[in-house]
Amino acid sequence: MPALPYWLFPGDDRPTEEIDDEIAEELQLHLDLLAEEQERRGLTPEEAKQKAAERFGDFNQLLRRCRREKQGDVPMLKRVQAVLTGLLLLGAIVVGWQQARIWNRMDATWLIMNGFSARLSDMNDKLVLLEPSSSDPTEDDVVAIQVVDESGAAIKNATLTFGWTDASRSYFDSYVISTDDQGNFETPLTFREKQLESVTAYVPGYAFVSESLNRPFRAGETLTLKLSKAVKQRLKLVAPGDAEHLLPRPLTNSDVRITSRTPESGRSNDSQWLQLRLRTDSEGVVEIDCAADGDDIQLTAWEPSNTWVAGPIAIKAMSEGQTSELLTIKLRPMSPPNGFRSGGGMF
Amino acid sequence: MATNSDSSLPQGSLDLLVLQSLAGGKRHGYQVAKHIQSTSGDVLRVEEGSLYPALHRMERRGWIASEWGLSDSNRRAKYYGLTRTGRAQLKVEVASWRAMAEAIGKVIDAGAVTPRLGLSLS
Repeated sequence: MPALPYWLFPGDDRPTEEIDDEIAEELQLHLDLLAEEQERRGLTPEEAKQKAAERFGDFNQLLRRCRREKQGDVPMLKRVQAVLTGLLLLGAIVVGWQQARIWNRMDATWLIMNGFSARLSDMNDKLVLLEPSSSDPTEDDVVAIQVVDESGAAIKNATLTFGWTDASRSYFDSYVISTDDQGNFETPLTFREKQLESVTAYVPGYAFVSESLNRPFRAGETLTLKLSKAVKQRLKLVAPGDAEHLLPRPLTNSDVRITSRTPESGRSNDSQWLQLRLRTDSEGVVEIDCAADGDDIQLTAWEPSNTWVAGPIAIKAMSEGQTSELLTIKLRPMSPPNGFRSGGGMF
Repeated sequence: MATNSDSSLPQGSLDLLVLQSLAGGKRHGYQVAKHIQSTSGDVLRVEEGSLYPALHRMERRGWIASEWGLSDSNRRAKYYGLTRTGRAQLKVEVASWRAMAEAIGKVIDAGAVTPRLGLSLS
């Protein structure tokens, strides 16, 4: 088997202490043999040792030279190895740190994606809930709502506001219903553990009507909401003086909402969330077209910094040929404004 | 005849002398030094300060190999022997030395100097 070239063996890579022990033993033998040689020539043992030592020279220096020859390039290669190992470790630390940063970013991205995923999953669950389920209403649970005028004629395109309630809160859903030719709209009495509580119907030109649905209904029963013709009534809303406005003033360009209507029969109609938004003009005048003759109404008006209420306001129809009377309505603060002494009576 | 220490050995001859000494068999360092001294008729003497570094250098180069054994006085001794590479190197060293000696001889033979009268060579 051919011998490998010597340069493939840069030197003895054993521990330095082991190499030193070996060289020292080798040199010591030589030194002792030299001393024996001197003794054979007639010197005393002490003289022989001294003579041998003189000939040998510096023992430790020779040992170091032998060690250097024996180790060759190993110490240098070990230093290079140590440096390279250090650089490798440093590189590994740097790469690891960068990877950690990347992982952190990925983790953040992962969290965000998980958040989106959770939201999508939640949305998906809600979408699934829209699928038919055993708790969905059946035909037995449906009541028909019919909107008619005083003559019994069907009214189409009535705005219906439904009030729902469950164990914890109430909900109001308002949407425009295109009733059929008979003015009918079918709605479930229960939906997703919510109970239909009330319905309010409004059609421009008619007095709005609210009906409670608390009483038991039979399957297929029709709830008829009869709407009376409304009277157009012009109201001039006047706000009292306050710290900012010392004198009473017309409430101009402000939002107004009719909160309730009480017919002569006495049963109040609540207009919860009814999509009936009115607005005063530049002279503080608003036209009411949602209450019948003889009704009492209550309203709420808003300014940026104040909320006013008024009512009951009696609605009266004019005789034929007469123009609508302009009623001046004094507003009351819903809560006393700051700096204003309630009941000051500045009207 | 006076003994020459290795400080006066011809340059580059130490490796040759050590390799040649080991060509006859395995020897430890002391034996190598004594062999060179005796076979040269006490003319050449290798200093220990040069012998042992040379042995370790040649061992690292693969020319010689070592193993521990027992000396004549029954002590542990490190014996060196020639490797195949060392034998090849010995041939190179011998050939090189002979070529150099021959060349030096030619120069000496060709340059027989006759001192001129009145000129001192010293």
